[in-house]
Amino acid sequence: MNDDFETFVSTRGPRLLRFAVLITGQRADAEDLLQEVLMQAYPRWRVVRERQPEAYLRRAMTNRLISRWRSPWSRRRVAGLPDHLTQPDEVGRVDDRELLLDALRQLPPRMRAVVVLRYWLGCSEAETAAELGCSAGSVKSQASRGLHRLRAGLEGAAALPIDVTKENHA
Amino acid sequence: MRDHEVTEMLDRAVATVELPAGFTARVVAGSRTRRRRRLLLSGGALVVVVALASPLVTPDGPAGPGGGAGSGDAGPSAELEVPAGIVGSDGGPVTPDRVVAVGRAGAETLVVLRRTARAQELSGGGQAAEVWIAPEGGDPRRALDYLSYDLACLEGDQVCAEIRSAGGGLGLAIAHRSGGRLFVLAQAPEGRTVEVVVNGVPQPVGAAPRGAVAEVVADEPYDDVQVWATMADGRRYRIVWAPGAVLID
Repeated sequence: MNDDFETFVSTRGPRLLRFAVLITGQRADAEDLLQEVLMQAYPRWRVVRERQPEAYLRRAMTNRLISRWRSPWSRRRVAGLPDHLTQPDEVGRVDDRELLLDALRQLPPRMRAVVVLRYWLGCSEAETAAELGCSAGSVKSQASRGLHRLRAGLEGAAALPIDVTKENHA
Repeated sequence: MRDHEVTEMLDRAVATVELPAGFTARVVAGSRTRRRRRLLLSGGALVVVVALASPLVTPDGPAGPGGGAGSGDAGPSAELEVPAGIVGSDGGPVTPDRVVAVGRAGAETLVVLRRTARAQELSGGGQAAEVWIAPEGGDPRRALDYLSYDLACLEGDQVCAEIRSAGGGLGLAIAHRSGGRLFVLAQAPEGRTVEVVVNGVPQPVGAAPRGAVAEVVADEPYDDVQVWATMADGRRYRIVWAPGAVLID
């Protein structure tokens, strides 16, 4: 079991970590999140590996993130966060990757997860809905609103080579 | 923004992300440590745990944060024993005073165990617990490492604020979705009753000093389900969902 698990983590781990970075918007939180779900999966690996483990672990991370965020505690914490996007010039030249993650962080976790699943993983609306346990209609509206908010968040980032003013043709 | 541009942008945001050195080993080591704790208990310490947990089957057994012996109806799930194989966050056995709530949810038993709260929460009157899920005939697993309770009130909930400032304990609620069913395990200190309101429809649970379970039908527990506690004098307050309180299999 160990070899199989370790092989899985070393081959699929980087992609899972990238997913975690995108849905959390932060590298440190992403590592914690991935480590936590992997530690929970390890003792049950024989069962987990039969269940499309990558999708299973993605779901576990998303559920955990959404579950934590949607409580009154987290809402209070989020309200207290500084607005990264309004002060991009403070540190001079800001890496555009950070700007992208900053913009992602402004989205609520479920919306962020929808955007990541739809546009990074290329899931269909139905697949995204199945992964998040919601309706396809909800995915459609969240994806649309997510892109709108992402665009608004990035409009001030002149360093980006992408033309963020184009309309979405999704 | 076109689809492929969004994809490129997201790709670029994480292009350089790789697993840190030693990550896999850290996961395996951490998982083994947890497993050792469980195996230790399910072996040598099993007898001790069963003996210590046995008072839970008595109607007047030790209570959760309400403290003291129970006197009334403890709800439909309060007489459950804590399943063997569960171990505290410090690796120690489950003593009755650590059990905040226990309830049956379908084919599983939910167990909420008291643990040391973070200093900042403790200073605000808060407490903390961990949540275990024990499937029938299977190994229990820790589903949540840290659950805050007795700490927060919804803004404007004056009854809750008064109780909290008096240090009376508020209670806790967790939701667990498993096999397409949704269960709510709620606990409120002695002398209060609990009601679960789903999309505006009340579902009385009764007294639950050691927890009681209600099965509900709802899509989004955080939005659709409210847990209320009613005091002996009729005043009510909301038991809020703490971070991680909704557990999804």
